[in-house]
Amino acid sequence: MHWRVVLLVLALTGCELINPDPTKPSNKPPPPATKPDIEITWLPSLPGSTYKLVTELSGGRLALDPDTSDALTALGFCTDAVTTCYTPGTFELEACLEAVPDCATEQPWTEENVCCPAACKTAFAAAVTGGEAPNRAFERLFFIEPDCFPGVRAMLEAP
Amino acid sequence: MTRALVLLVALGAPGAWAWESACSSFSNPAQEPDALKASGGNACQPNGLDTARARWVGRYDEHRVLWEVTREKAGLPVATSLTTPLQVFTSSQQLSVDGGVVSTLVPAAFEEATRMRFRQVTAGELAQLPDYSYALWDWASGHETCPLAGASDATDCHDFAAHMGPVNSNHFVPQSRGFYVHYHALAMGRAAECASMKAKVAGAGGRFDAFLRACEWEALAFEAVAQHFLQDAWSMGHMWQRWGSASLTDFPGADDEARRDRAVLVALVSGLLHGARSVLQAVPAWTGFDFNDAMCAPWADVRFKTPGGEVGNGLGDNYLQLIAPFSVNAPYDLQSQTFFSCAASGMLEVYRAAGENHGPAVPQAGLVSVDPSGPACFGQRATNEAMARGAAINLKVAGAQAAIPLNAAFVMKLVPQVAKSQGKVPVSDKVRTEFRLSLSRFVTMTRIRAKEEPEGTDVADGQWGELLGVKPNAQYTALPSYVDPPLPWSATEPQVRHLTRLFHRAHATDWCQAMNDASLRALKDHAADPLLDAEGRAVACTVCAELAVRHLRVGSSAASYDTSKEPLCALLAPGSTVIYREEPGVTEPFALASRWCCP
Repeated sequence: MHWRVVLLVLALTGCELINPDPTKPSNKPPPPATKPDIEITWLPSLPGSTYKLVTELSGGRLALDPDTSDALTALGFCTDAVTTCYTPGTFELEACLEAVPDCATEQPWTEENVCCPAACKTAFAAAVTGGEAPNRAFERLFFIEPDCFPGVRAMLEAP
Repeated sequence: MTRALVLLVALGAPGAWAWESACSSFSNPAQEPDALKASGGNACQPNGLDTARARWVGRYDEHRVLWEVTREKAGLPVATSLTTPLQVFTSSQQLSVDGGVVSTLVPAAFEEATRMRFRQVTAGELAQLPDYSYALWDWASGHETCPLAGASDATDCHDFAAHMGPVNSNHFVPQSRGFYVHYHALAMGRAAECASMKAKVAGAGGRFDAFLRACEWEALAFEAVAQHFLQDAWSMGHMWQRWGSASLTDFPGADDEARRDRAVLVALVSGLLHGARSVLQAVPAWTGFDFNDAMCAPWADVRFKTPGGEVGNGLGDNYLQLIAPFSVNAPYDLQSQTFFSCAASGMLEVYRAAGENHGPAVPQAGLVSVDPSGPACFGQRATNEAMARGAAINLKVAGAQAAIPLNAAFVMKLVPQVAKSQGKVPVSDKVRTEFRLSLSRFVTMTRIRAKEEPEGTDVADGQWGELLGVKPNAQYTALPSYVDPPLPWSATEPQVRHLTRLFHRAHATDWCQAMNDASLRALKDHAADPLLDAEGRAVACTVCAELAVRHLRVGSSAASYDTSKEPLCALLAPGSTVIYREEPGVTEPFALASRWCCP
């Protein structure tokens, strides 16, 4: 009976009992769910293509290709998982990044679930430990110098 | 031109990204705006030749309405808001557009004029000018040239969706402040000239009041242009540093085409963040939806912060009617009250400086006087939380709220396309990669900052990066070459000639100084040109009389003339050319001038 109560408390409070500092909220968020669908329900199709229309002016248009799958889409899913999780004071960026499963391959976009490369996690932890602001470190590692993410540099340097 | 027509068919006529502007053609354009609205009217074509020849009145003429409410609060007489027929002397040139023909509106040299047109307009309509024209001189010359470096075709050049939108970063803070300051200075400079003119004709018994009112009207016209930028600064979707410059040449790219492509893509993104109702609602596939898109539409978390730390809710284009004085809506009172204090202060400054020639200003009680170009009027910024709300397409489907988040996963699947001769085509893979990564960076950091500091304004302040190599607008501070030139004007500049010829009564002093015996004689000779058709001769006589009377003394010589009818130029520019004229039974100077010009 006693153990059932303990388990119930654990289930309701997450890892509260293993939090080394009970005055602070848990810093270990749950892993993200499966790769989320992007919202395209309301976007009209462009005639003669699989693309969707997002916005348009006479000088140009933003279309969306639901089938695009490459290093950048994988990066997008990774960073979205982190920013969705991120709750200042509860789930910090580093914890949220850690909570996303490591990518198992050098082609994250072929993986079934959302993942973030272990190299990015390591680099992020090192940057924050070194004194860089977490949000600036996140911006730098994923968007300004995204070398930890397989395939992105090659896309940037492609002719 | 083709692109403009394609746009019209595909999207209707998309509005500007700001408070809305409206352009319509009416069967009787001389009516006052309320009567015009009641009579209906047909929306303008998006080309410049059409917009220069129509009234800027319509269902969503929010900029004009803001000017009129400002005028009421500032207490300027109703007369300053009446439709004014600006008399312009032109050549007989005809222009082709969209299979039709229109007459030129370019003000001609007076001694060559063969046609006379009237530009029916209120000063308040010109508060919409930056959505249709590159400058007041551009409107004055009928939008018949393309002022934008890097573009060419005059009609396409004035199409908001094709060219004006991509360079409208100056409608967003803080770049908008520089344009307000420039145009407010022009208004104040001209107002000072009006006051000077008023002092010089003070003893004329009101004979030249029409010139004083014309001068004041021109000063208010410049202030109306200025107030567009102030009004936009208080449109919620504009309270952030949209990337870019008002000059195409400032955009990165190897050539004009590449620069324009980047400007277009940045504009498309900026429009989504700003609030895209005016564009998306018109897409045929979406007309059944209600795009209550942030940041223009009312959302509880779409707020702005003032430099003093006050936070208030904000609205933007298409939603003007939801704020005071059009509605009672307390959450938006900070937006309404501060804006109108700024706008009325600026308007009053100009009107008082000009000499209050339409009657004394009687500001409404409770109006707060502020520096219209100071931080109280241009320092407001969207909060990080508001920017995050803006990074989505919000819509209602059958009454149910839906959202299409512009998160990184969504952005990474975007395919930017630009218009080419063969239609809209994807940009190169390299540009697409750069676009996806830089926009993902922005939306991701916006989400992060909205969580970290919801009431912070660092996202709106442009602290989170470029888009496609285009910097936030505070980093492009130079005014583009197409703006109206700063005072004092040089009469040799073509832009100045358009303005001084259109506002020839406002610039009476300049013309008094410029005209001499030979130029007056040229007017008279032109009126006698046997090659002119009947209309041309009538116009030549009219323009000659219009200018000659300003120099005409009723009498025979300096020793013998009617000193009670001293002509305008003798007062404004002592020593200027004088014509002496007398005829038995004719005492009115204008009649004498007409007879001198066309015996």
